[in-house]
Amino acid sequence: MKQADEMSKDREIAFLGRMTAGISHELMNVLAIIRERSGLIEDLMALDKKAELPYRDKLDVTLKSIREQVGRGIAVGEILNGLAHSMDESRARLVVDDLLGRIVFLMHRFARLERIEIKVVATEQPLTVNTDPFRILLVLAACIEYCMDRTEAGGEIALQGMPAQEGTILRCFVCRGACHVESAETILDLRDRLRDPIERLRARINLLNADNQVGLELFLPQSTA
Amino acid sequence: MTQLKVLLVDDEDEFVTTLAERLQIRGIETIVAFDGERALQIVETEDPPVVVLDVMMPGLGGLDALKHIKRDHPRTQVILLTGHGSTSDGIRGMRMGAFDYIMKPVQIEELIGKMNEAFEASKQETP
Repeated sequence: MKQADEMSKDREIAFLGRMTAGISHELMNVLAIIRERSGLIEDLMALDKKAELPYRDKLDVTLKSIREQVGRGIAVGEILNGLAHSMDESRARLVVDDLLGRIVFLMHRFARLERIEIKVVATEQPLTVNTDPFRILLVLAACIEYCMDRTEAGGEIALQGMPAQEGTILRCFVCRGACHVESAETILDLRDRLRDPIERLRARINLLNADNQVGLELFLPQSTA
Repeated sequence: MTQLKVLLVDDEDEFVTTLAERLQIRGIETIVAFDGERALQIVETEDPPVVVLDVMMPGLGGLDALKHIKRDHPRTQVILLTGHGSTSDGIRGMRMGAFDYIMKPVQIEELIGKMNEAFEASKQETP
C-alpha cells in the first residue's frame, strides 16, 4: 500500500515537472525573441554610428537594460527548468555545489524579504550525491527556512557540502548574526514535517552546533550519496 | 563553395526571422524554414552547407530532420538548438551526426562562431 502511495505521489510530481518544464520552455522562447529583437535594433543603430538619431543615448541605456534583464530572465528560466527536471526521476547524480546553488537561488527572494542573505560555501573537492533531485530540494528549503526563522535581520546563512564517513553531509548554518536555536523540540517538529522526504532520501537531520556553526546538518548515507 | 549560407529552422517564426535579419546584416546568406518538412525541401533545392535546427518542433522534429539530412546530405553540417533542460537531446543529436548543439536563447556571436566552424567542416567532408 505504501509503495502504491509512493508511486502515485511520484506520478503527481512528474506531472508537475512536465508542466513546469513546458512553461519554462515557453518563457525561454519569449526571451529569445526579445533578445533577437533588441539585438536587431542595436545592430541597425550600429550600422551608422555617425547618423543623427534623436535620443541615441537614451536608446543605448534602454537597450543595455533590456539586454541585462533578458540575461536575468534566462537565469531565472534556467533555474525553473532545473526545478522542473528535478521532478523527472527519483534518482540522479548531482554536483553538490550546483545543488546548493540552485536552492540558494530559489530561496533567495524569501530570504531577502527577511533581510537575510544566503550563500554557498564551495566544497574543497568536487563532491557529488546520488539522490532524489526534487526531495533533496524540498528538505534543503525546509532547513533554510528553519535557520531563517531563527536568524535576525542582517544575518547570513551558508550552505556547505562535505564528505563524511559512509556518506555526505550538507550543512545549513548561520554564518553572520545571531542564531536562536532554542531546544531539541524544534527539530522534532521539523523532522515530523519532513518525515516522508527524509525517509525517501534515507537521510538523517540533526542540530548542528560545532566548529562555530549553528544550524542544521543533513546526512545522506553512502547508498544515496 | 566559398561563402557561408545557412538554413535556420525553428517554429518560432518571429525568433527565426529576426535572427536571420541579424545574420544578414553581418553578411551571412540566410534562408529560413518554420518546420522540419520545409527544411528538408530547402536542403534538397538549396544545399546549404550549414543548417541550424531547433530540436523541439511540431511535426517532423529536429532529431528526425537531422537523420534525414545526414542520410541524404552527409556534407551538410547541422547545429542543433536545444532548450536548457534538453542538453541530452543535443548529445543524442551529436551521436546521430550533428556538428554541435547550442542552447536557446542564443548569443549571436557564439552561434556565428559555431556556424563558421561547421562551414569549415563541411568543406573538409568528401562529397
